[in-house]
Amino acid sequence: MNENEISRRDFLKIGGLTAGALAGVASGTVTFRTLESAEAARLAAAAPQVKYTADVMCPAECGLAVRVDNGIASAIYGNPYCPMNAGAVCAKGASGLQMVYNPNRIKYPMIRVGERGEGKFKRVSWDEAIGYVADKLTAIKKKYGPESVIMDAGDITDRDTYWRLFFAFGTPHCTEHGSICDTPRRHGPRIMLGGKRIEPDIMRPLLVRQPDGSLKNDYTYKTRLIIYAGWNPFTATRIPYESRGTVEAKLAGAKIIVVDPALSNTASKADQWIPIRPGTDADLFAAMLRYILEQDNQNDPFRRYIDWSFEEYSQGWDDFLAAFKSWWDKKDPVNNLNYFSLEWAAQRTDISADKIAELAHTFGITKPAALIWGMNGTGHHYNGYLPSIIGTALNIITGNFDVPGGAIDTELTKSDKGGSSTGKQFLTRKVKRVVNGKEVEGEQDKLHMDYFGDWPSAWDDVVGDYPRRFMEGVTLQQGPFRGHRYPIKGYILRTGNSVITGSNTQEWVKALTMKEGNDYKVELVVYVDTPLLESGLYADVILPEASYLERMSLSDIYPSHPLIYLRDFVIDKQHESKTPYEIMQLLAKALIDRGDADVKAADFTEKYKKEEDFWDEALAGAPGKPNSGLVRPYPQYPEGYKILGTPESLEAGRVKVDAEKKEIKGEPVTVKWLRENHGIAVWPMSYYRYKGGGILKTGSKKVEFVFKAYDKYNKLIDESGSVPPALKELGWDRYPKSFYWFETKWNPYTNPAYAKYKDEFPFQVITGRIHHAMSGTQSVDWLGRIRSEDLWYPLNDDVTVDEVLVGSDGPKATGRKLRIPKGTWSVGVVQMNASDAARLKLNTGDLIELETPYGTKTRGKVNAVQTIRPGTLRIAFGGGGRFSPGLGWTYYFKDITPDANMLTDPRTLSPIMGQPGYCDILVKVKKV
Amino acid sequence: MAMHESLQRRTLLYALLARLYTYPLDERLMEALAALRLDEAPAELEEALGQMQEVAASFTPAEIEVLRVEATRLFDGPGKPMAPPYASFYLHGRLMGPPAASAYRFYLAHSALPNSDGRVAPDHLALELGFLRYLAARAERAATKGRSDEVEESLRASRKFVEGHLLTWMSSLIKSDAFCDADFLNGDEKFTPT
Repeated sequence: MNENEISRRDFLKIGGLTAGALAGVASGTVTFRTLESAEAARLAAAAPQVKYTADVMCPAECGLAVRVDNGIASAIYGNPYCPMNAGAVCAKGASGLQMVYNPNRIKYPMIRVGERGEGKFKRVSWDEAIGYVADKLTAIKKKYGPESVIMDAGDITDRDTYWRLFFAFGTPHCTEHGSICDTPRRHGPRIMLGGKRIEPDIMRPLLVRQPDGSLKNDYTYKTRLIIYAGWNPFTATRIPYESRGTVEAKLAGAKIIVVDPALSNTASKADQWIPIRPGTDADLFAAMLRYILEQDNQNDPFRRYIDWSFEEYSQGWDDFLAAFKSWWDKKDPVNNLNYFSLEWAAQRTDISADKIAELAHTFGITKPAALIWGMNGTGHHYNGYLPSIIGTALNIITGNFDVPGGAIDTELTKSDKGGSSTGKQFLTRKVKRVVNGKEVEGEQDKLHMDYFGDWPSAWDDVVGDYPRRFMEGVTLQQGPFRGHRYPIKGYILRTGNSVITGSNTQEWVKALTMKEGNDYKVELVVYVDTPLLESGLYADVILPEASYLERMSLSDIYPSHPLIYLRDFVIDKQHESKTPYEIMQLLAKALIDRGDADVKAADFTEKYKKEEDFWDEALAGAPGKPNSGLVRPYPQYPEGYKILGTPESLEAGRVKVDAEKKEIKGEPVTVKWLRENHGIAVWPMSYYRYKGGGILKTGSKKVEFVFKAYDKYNKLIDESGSVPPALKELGWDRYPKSFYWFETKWNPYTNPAYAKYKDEFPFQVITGRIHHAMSGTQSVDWLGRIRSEDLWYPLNDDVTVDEVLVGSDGPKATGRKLRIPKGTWSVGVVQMNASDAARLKLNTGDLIELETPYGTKTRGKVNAVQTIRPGTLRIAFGGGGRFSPGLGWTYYFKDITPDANMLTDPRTLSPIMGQPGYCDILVKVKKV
Repeated sequence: MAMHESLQRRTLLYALLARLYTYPLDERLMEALAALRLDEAPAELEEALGQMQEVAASFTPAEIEVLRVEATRLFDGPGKPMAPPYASFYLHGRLMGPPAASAYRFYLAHSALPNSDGRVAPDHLALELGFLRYLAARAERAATKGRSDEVEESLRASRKFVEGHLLTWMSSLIKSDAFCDADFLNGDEKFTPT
């Protein structure tokens, strides 16, 4: 090169810079290394790879196949080897790259520098962030006890690492979103089967054992009828196979009936849509059960509803029947009609008596069939337990439980995972507390604020009650530590957004910002996640968790037979994020360094040398199901023995059969094995798995129509004499022995106490899921452009807005202008029947305000449509009022989109398990 | 000034620029900035440097803390950062888009690989400036050994990268940063492209 070619632009005359001065400055910057030319060429020419993993864009957790080019994930497809989604991927899954590579994601650890809620943070190192958390936890533990700390792992199933650490730390409070999801919906299967979720037998393909001993993937659909009550699998994609499976079953001849106040996407695909009045699902189910019991005639093939063989594998039917029948002669004060009669149900549900009779008859004679009830529709009501219990009974007595084409409890059939890795063994440690001046000893789990407090039967904790507990503290009412008082001082929230979805929004904000002197009452709030959601704005420390393409864990969501698949490292961790495993180890070490006597190196840093070790331990119990059913998964092995190990070792006979433990143990499933097998292990399907006890998890190993699951709670009450407040509210002094009945709240059509609100507050508000139901996905632009049913709709005005972000001194204009053309961006709206809109002189797009009898309000635009029954309004759950700038454009519409949880009554927590009454809301409407 | 010396200065300058976009801002960086002198530099460059040096010359630990908070707000978030330092954000709408792949390929084409374990996007400003530092250092070594072809190759690559990558999005970054509260960081954003 001729030196004359070197321009002034190339060579500034620089002074003052010396290598010495800059040596330190340059440290910390990313350097480059020189590659051999062959290596550079190899990397440049590297072929794209396909890596298998599991989604978390929503809790369906589909199996994914991700294309990776030069370390960059470039496309997401479904994993064809995973029968949950069988190669398919929905809009949410396909748009995952917009989450992983979102400029808004949390990239670095941060510590709050302003007040909670202001959003003022400074970036810090991991050492500093972890040190801060460990110092606070240590101080809280010393002053108040470890039970003053709650670890809330939100809505993602790979929570094991966090739970392990905090159980070891000494708290019994390691929770997840379950109690604000659908606990009432799960209740019937839980107390009667030991299960949780009943789904139709439409997961395909099914790996089925053939009579000759071979295996085949079965794609045939045997279902003849599916009734979905308040369940919308086409949008609420928790069970990924149900959308395509429903269509396939229908094409194969099944009839699909949807009971829902709104014409959901599922209803639009159905043979029949029955627009029921909100909150009356139990009424419908009770009338169906009474009809079937009264009209059953075993001698008439057109009336042979009941398959009495259920008595062989159940107990307590007579008690259940007697309790159910005891209501038949009673008059309902609402309508002076006999409970559970067709006329009674017609008056309450607004479905004609003939239609109810037809529905009951159709369900009774059509076999195989499945009655499925949903989360928003039935589980979000104060009395949501009732349809769950009655629905379970209906599936059982009609002979549809776990038969080909029938109804399967997926909790009972999915693979075991976790085992000792979850740290639940720490809960049995003996601890001592001084209660009323006397030292008392008991197991760590007996300190639980709910199970030994106001909610003994809340087996998934009571997240909806947390704001009250944060403000008032805990006084244990049951068990050995009865009378023990402690405050809640630490809240570690991971992949959850309790401020928006954990019951009433205002109550959460109040609880997290309440002060005691100059300090916050809750002394430590930690937020761990990939996206920044509203709850993060109230945190003291923010920890960036590796996204789902950057971390490892296991998924096993609701299959018809055991399978488990790996969430694997697809790309390098981005920015300074860390995996849950790494965060567990870092915090464990920090606590150990600070002298924590409960967190031991032998359980953490010395036990697991690499991440795979942890997940191998979690896989050790897979699949863990009994060799039961027809045809048995492994006919060559003894019936009822627990199955453990890889499918191939079990198939090949490389097993040890332990007659004492009743265990068939093959070669263990490991991360390595999963990686070599498309990321997934699948074990064979069978039916009638209740025979001989099989998969049932009740104490009696039978279907229990008498609720022995409640016995242990009644024993606690017997010992303490303290009746939980929610039971008192119902007028009960014990949990019932069998069938029970009580009315929902805020429903003037079924509960006389609320009839007075009917005229002034004429609308019932229900919620529904949308594609954006998961908070994190609201930041994904592609999804913002997709409308969802009539709930998430492009009703945005043509606006040019000043881009506003929360900065160091609160919300502030960035200086950039943002134009959002009219009708291009979907926002949460208020779905209203067109006749109601006309009566109120409202048009689609008008801004309205909804107000409850207790004075809470929210605003949204009207979407006047025919797709919802009159008198009912529907709002997307979590779809409005979103005030975190981490959510992209959604944030700009926070003032015109409705937040349903601004309306939720904080005092309406359902009485058995404390689920918020998300769909028990009455409002009046006014135009803004 | 001998070429290798000029190239050494160039290397140091790019190191300094890369450091300006690498968290955290600290005392050593301030000292280095305060010591920096430019001769015959364009007025706007002098002005931008002066803006930073005014702060750097008399910083206090508390002021550095304020700068860190501001740098966090600008470049890191939480939530949407006000001036994301990634080419893909301005040219593609999200991170790790074609500009990131293109930068990565450019590095490989010049036998260079960032030591970042894939954590830092290839089109992060600090990484792109770090690559220019790498090229300058390579040229400097070649000049010391009298290998003018290699010097020329590295400088051509450097210019091509600046024109083909860095300058395609720097103006958008500066526009985003115009609302920055801190004079220091405002100066920083003017100084780098100039």
